[in-house]
Amino acid sequence: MTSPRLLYIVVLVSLKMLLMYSYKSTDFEVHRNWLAVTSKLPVSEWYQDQEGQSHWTLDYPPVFAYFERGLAVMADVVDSNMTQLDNQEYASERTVIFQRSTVIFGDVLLFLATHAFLSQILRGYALWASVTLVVFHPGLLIVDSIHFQYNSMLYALLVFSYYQVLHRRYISGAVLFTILICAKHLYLYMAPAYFIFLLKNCVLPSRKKVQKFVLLGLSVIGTTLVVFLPFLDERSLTGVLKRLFPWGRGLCHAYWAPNSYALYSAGDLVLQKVLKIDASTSVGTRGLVDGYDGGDTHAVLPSITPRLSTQITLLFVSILIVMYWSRPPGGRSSSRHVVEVFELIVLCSLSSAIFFAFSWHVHEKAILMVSLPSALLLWLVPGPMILPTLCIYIVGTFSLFPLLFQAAELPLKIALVPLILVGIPILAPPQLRLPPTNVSAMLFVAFLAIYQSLHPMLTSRYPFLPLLMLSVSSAMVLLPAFYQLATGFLLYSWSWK
Amino acid sequence: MNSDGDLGAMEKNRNWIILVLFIAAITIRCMMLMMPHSGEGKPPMYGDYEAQRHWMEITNNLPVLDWYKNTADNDLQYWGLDYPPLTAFHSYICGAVGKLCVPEMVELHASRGIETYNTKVFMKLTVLLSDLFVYLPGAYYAVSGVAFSYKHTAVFVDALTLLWLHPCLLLIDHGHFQYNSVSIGLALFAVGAMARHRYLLASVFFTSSFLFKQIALYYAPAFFFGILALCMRDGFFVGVPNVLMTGLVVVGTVAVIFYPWLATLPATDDVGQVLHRMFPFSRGLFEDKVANFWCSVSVAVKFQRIFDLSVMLKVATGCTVVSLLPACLCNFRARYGSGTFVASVVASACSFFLFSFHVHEKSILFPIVMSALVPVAMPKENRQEAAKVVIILTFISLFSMYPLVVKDNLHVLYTSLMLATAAACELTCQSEAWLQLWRGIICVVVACHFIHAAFEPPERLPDLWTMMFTISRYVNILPPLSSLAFCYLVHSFLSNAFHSFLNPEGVTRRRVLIQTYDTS
Repeated sequence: MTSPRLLYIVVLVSLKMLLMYSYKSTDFEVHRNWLAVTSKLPVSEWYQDQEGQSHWTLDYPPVFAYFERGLAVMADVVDSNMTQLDNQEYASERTVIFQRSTVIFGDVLLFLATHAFLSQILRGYALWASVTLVVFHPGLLIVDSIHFQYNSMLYALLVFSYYQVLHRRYISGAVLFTILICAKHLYLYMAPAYFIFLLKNCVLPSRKKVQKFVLLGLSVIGTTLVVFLPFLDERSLTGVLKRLFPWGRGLCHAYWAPNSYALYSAGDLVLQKVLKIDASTSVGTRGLVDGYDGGDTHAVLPSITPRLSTQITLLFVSILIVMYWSRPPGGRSSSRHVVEVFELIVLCSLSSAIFFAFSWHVHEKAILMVSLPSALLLWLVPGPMILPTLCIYIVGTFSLFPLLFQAAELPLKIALVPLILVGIPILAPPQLRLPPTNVSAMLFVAFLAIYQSLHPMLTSRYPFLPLLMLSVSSAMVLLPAFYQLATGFLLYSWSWK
Repeated sequence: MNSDGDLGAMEKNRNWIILVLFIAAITIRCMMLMMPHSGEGKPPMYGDYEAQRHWMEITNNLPVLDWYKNTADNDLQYWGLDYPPLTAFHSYICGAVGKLCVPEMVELHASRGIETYNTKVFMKLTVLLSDLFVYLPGAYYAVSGVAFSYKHTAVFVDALTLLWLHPCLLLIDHGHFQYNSVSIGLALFAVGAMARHRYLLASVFFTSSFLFKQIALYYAPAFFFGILALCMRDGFFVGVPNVLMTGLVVVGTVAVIFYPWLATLPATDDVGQVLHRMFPFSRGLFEDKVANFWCSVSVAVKFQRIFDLSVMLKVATGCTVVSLLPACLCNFRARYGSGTFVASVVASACSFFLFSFHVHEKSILFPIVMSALVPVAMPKENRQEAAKVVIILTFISLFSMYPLVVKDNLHVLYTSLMLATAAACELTCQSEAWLQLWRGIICVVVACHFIHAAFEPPERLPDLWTMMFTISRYVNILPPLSSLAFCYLVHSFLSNAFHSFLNPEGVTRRRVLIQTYDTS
């Protein structure tokens, strides 16, 4: 009997290969440029601005830069023109196939990590359904395989760290998570959750608390130091930090991530129209997106500043931390480690959810930060929590549809709507009960996601309106789902099966 | 693809599984929308993609009678229409829709060789929609009609998966760019109708099928004998009026489709011109490198040099008839069933492919797609073997299309489909002997690809080119051998099937099934 894992990988690769020729966003050129930068420039110049070079500068932390450096070695063999610094917008067929293959490699890694992790907890149909839900996540398809990013590889690293925690190897889990943050600092969204989890479950129960704490802290700091070793002088460090945390951008990203600020800004716009206030050009949608210059962000409602958004975020994170801390540990002692890692995953997704909902300049791709852990959770959570998890999964995916705005992807988007709405509930656990309100909400969001593509063909008035409505309606489904997930997790003490 | 849940759950969720499979089939076709097509970026003639686009152009700009004629506006040397009128009407419809969406695509003369983003998306969408409206429903109709036992969901779903996601069809239709799926879809509708004993409906569908692509005539002997057998089932005197009715229906369908040309019949020879374009007999014994019997044997014995062309024509026809007759005549056995009929259709198509005149390598599609119906139509004893043979044959047919892949730069699509089909083969061949055979085949295939890739630059060393040519000939030995093997197996299945039919319990079960269909 051939290994089912090998067959699964073969089918996975064959399906992802079909998307090789689809739309590539500017992210493709970004990564090609990073291949060039990391292979042609000395390390000290990686994060410094170069005159005359492409403006797609390196803005991921060093681990990702090292990864691109490794890829550049192979890229030179495939097509040496790929790694030329001034070869902008270079996209020969070999380049495309090579780059897409690296993403597919990340997908295979994600499958291996997820299968290794979930096979410790689930069996049979539940295992394969769960793995499929993670590996074939349509949002991952849109963002990784088409739009072009490497989220699957990074998420594989995250799942691998969960795997270490499952086997009680907390320190290696922490080290892996640190490496992950040093690969994509967006995972800082999950850092408070991980930190508080380790505190509660690793440091507190052990007999030598201080020693454990120091050990954990040293391993985390040590890993960070090792990663940042080439950049430890002031010039490089400021360069890196400036690139990683660009505070000059606006409150919302161009596509208006479906977070609370989408609702807030939409409400502001509505009030502007209702109260007939003529807003200056710096306020309104453009002012929200373009740049933050310290002025007003909203015309009618109170403005949001970066400090305010950080305060709101930290407030909710502290609420999460406090409520988690005061929860009694659940589950029988034999399956305690399963309960623990499950708590870790829920905490990570809740922490990401809070950051997604309230922090500054959230990209709508960040919904994957919440959606991917929840895909892992679908078969693990108890009954009441399945529905919000499913809502986050499905509506989060629909909110990503505006990323694919070209004509060739429109049939795919239209076909994905029934596939998601029918296929995902089939793959979900049998205890799932989908009430009609949720179904109609999902259908409405799906309709808006498709209509957003068709709107330019029908009329040229109000070009931004469908996107706004999509973000607002997604936010109206996602934010309550986050809340339900949080309350389901924090307020009920249940025992693991 | 194969759910490993318990059988009860699968039966209950059968309709959901089929629905998800349907949506998945469409999604996968959407995913391959931007694959390269034949003749991309290769002026002056480009390829089949340009041919299809050109037909949309001329059908939408010229009067009907000029479509097949060499006029000032219609240069038959540049991709003249050489498929029957239904293709022309289909092109007309696609072109009419195209005029609304992408008008620059069908402008007379000005649109030659146009390859913009929008036109490409539109053309690929026409294939997708043709699949959606003709092929996918046809496949379902055929499988649900032909299924030997409606209770075994797994076999049903497997056959449906193979038909709906057939790799060879996806490669040719969505990659190389053609509309075979319409013709095969109509033929599948005909097979489904035959399984439901509606031979008049079947004759309408089959006539439409070969009036879309004349290559569907590969199935004609099987349909002829099958319908004849069905008509004569209740005795000779009841049968003759049925046969006459069928003949009338066929003639009527032809008349309807050929109406614009028939209307001018006494005055001009327009119909003759159409027929002349459809059946050009002046071409050679085989074209290019095709997995045909004649082509493969020509490595050793070059028949076309030994004998005259007219002699070869007779020999080819003779071989074809001899090889397809046994299967077709089986339709006349007392215990008729859809398994017999499907097997005879496949045998007929295989015989034509192997032995007939001027076979194109894409013609492997017609036998191989229909063969997906064989496992589901067979009784239980033969089903597993049939499934293994079919899937391995599909893999080999896909492999035999490699020369086309190289020409069209479709390597990515080809690799993807080969991987998926290989996984399906691996999953199906679980018994020891079959697994060895399958592993052997995959080694040969990989070795051939490796050699072909390794000996890539021919112009530097002229004798290397000859070696590559010879090796690619050897590559083509595998498909015809397996087709021959398949014909043999089909015939042996037929004899096995009849032995089971002689079992009275089997007969009663069939009668019950037939009556169930009649009432549904």
